[in-house]
Amino acid sequence: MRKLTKYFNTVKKDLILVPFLIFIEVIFEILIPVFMGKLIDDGIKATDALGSAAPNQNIILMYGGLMIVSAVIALIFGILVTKKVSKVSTEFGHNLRQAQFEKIQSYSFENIDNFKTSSLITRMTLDVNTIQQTTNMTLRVALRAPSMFLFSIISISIFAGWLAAVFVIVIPILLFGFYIILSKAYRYFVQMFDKIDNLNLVIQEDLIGIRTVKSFVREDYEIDRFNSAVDDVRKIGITAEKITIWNRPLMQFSIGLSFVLIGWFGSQLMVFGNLTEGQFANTITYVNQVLFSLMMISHVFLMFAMSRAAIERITEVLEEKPLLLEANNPVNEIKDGSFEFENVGFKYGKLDNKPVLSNVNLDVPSGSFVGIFGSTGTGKSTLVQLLSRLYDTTEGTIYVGGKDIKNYSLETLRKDIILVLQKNVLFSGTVKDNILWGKKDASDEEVIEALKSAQAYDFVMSMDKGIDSWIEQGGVNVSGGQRQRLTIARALIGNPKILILDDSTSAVDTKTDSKIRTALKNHSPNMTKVVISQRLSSLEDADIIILMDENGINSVGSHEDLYQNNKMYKTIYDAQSRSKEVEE
Amino acid sequence: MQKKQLRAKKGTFKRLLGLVFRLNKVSIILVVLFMLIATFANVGGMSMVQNVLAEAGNMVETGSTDFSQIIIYIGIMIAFFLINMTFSYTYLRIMVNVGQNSLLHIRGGLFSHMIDLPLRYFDTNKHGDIMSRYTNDVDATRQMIGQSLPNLISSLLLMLGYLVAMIVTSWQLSIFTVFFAGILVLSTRIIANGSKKYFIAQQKNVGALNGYVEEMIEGQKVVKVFRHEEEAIKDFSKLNRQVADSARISMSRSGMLIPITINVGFLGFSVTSIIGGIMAINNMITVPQLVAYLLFTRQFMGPVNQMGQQLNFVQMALAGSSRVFEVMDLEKEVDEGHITLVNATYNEQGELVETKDSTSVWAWKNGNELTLVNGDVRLENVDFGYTDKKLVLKNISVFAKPGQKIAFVGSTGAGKTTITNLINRFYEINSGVITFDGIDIKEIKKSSLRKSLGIVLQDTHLFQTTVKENIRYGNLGVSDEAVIEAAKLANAHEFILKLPEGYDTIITGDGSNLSQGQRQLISIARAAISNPPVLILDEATSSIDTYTERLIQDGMDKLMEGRTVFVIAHRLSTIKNSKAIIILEDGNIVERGKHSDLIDLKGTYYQLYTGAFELE
Repeated sequence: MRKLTKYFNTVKKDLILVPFLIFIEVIFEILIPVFMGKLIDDGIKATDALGSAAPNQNIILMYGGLMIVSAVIALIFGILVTKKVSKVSTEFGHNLRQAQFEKIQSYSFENIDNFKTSSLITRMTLDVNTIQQTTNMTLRVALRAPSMFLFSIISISIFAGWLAAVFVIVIPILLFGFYIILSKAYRYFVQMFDKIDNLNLVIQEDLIGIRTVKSFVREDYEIDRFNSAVDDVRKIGITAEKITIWNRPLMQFSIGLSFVLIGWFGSQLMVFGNLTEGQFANTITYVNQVLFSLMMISHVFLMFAMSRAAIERITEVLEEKPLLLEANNPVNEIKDGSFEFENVGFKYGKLDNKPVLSNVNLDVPSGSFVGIFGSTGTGKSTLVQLLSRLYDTTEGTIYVGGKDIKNYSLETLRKDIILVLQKNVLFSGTVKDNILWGKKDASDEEVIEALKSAQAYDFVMSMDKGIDSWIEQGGVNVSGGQRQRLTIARALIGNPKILILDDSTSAVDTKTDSKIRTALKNHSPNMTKVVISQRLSSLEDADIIILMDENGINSVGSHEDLYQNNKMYKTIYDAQSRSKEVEE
Repeated sequence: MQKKQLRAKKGTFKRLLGLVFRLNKVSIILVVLFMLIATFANVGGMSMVQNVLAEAGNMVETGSTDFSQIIIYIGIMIAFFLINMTFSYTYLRIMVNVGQNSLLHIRGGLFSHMIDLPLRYFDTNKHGDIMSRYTNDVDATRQMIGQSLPNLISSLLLMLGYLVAMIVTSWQLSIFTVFFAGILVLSTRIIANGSKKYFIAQQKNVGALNGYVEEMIEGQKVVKVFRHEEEAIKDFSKLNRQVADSARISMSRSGMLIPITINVGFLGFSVTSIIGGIMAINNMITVPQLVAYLLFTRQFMGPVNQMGQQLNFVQMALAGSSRVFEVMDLEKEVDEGHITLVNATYNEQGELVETKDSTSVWAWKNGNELTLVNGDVRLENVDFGYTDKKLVLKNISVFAKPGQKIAFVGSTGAGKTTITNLINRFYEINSGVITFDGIDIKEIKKSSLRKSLGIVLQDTHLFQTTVKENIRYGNLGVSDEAVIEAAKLANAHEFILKLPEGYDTIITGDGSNLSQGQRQLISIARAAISNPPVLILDEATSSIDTYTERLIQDGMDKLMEGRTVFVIAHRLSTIKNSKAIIILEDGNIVERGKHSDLIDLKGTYYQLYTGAFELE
């Protein structure tokens, strides 16, 4: 909890004000029962000189009036407290969500790989909501209960002297009980949140794959899968709550024990000591208040069990160390699109994992067309992702425009090196909104220009609102080939110095593919183009072709070089061009 | 439509209660009963404390030191407190189950309804917003079901009890108490009505936030590549602000009820005691009566305050469940079909009979009548548009005889994929008719229709489970051997063996461990294993390089053998051998015929094939 207190920063003033408001409210709340007692004892039960009942109107009116005034004051401050506390707790929730989202935005690819989307979502909504409610409850109770508790204990010791010592026995039992319950339940609440993450994941998967589910008529299967995920949540929820409800019998045990002890020792004191009946009666009233305040505190403790789990999970997000460090005095300008790999090695995750790349050396002049070819799992995508520091090399150095990439600011690096990922994601919004991702302030003309280069203009124009046509989440309302072309347009509009296409035209026919390449050549001759493709015909014109196999880079050279000197290349090329003949 | 929605919202409270009660009738009755027993035991215990006090007073007066009576009182007190503890624990324990079972039921009901909604729902709603209904909205009902519900019932019963006692003691004073109770009810209503829309806004805003977060984080790598972080934060901030504002208002509005109930209670108490005092002075009520009455008033305030504290939870639950019911009120996919698809075999008399075994013979079952599935699919004069405004397909007629391969060619947006969406009834046609073996597909049960069509979609979706389970998705009953067989057919066997755990490798969400091409191979294997009479291949091999495509050609041929096949492909080489090639342009069929016929026709296809004209 302490780690998160700084997120109260925007409501510091209100937070400081709350205790004062509560203090005033509590004073009047405590006074009311006192007045009430006086009204009954001194007013209604008043007797005349002969000892017969004679209610005293003046006293009744006075204490009645005092009660009314106190109730009104308590009401006003109660409402003020509610307002302030609501503000503080919802702002706290707001700040926690904001901090998490901003933190996630600073994650590197490797950090992103560490979390599942479904889990991050729960942490930002459900977990924060739990904490928000606990904060609300805690703030309302935190001061009220202890002050009522203290006030009552003090009153008891004034009235009944060492009878107050009963609480020296009861309270440690109570605290010990709370501690056991909390520490046991906490574990299960953590698990419960994990199960909710999993539930979220199942739903998300079904939403993304709904076409597959429906095509294969697997609705019942998915319902079963979902139900078992829900049942997991239920089971762990029951386990956790089974523990927390012990809170109640524990409370009641303490109440019972207090009364038994006070009843016994109180009557002893009355008979053998000097405790009066009135003092004894008052003590009982205050014991009730002590226990009531303890009850409120126990409620808060209960909510803490759940919140502690949520806090841990949120802290995990906030304390995840961004794995990419920026240079202290970053260079903000990349000279040109040349790049160089010097003894580069890379492995994902832990250090003992198998390296994906090792000892890679490359030297690519600005403006070149670089083709990368190789079967799946040979590290092609990894190689290009190192260029704009989406991942950091584990060995060796990469230079872009003659400088170590670690000297540039990430902003600069990613502005000038744009990668079209294999998994092409479009976002809900218009076509234009999506293209503007590549260049925030681009004009409509620039958007159209980029669409044209990516061979996407014609189909966009055939949509009902042209560049203002709506794209659904994930681009489900355009075909795979159209999606790829839109993602290319999105990359082109930023006019980067290095453009990387990671198998980005797989769903596009060969002719459109070659048109895109021609457009790139004509419009951006100085742009370094790195293209990963399964089709060698797409790479034939490349200045440099990098051929990759299971052991990393197999060879590097122009098409002619490789065709002459590399047996593997020749075999594949011949095989592909045979099938190409069939195709054309 | 709008009227219907409004009515549904009005009944949310009843509906939610009905749902919880129906499920847990006995449990809830027991809980309320136990709660009352526990409460009375508690009152009993407290009265024993008073007895101890009185007895001690007596002893002081009489100078007795005989504690036996006090010991008896304390003994009874212990018994009462033990009863209280036992019954409290028991009803809480039951409530845990009631609460959790209700959540399970609500979530389960929501899911099984949702999965039957038309595709349009999934295409046009943000995933994160839908997900929020399962998590945030269902969770909003948790505290009400588990805590408020039993609390409200027992508070209500207690209040009634005290009220009766008060009326019996002094009906005149009761008028004032009822008056103040009325004020409380009224202020509760006003506050509830005033804060209701903020609770609904809060759940809605949380849904929107969830939607945004899901979309952005799912696409986080693209965000990074395009340095879109600042914009993302800016958009997020707006949504986050809306959530916080609606949460603040709803929390403070409903929270106000707590100080209001407490202090209006005190006000009522003071007014009652002033009037009571005046009445006592004028001998309209005796002092002991008045004291007893005032004690009842104090006790009456306990359950009233309890109820006030639940308002927040109740309103949260109402807002949450109204969003759950909103989905449950959406109409499911229309499925009026009655004809089903069954596996069949021939008996000794050579008659077609139904069988539970997985055979390659399929039959349509209409009542008790079986007819063989041939795979004759016809579209006649079909018109279709996704919106009312624009037709995507115009007067389309296509005939596929059993075993024929029909190819669709045309530029993107010409309506190729749309045709397949109509055959499996993802979307409903505007006019015309689609028949399967002469049966209007509307008469075939949707699940049977889709089972009869093996579809390899352009966007392959694999689930986050093992490779093996993904292939088995096509036919849950098959053995591992059959899975491997299908993988070999699709030429996926070799690369699968190279994966770290072979067939048991878990496929990750964003597929970073498989290339697009490999994913397509797995989905071809998945379709193969389902052994359907009709196959639809929608750009099934687009991400597979031509070299691999040639490798799987044999397998594909084997797969297509004896089946009616619809193929959509931009590589003309893969469709050259089709029985009929249909050229679509802007929703119209412009040419149709065999490869050789179309070449002779020297039309669009010829131009495409010779490269004079290109698909955009």
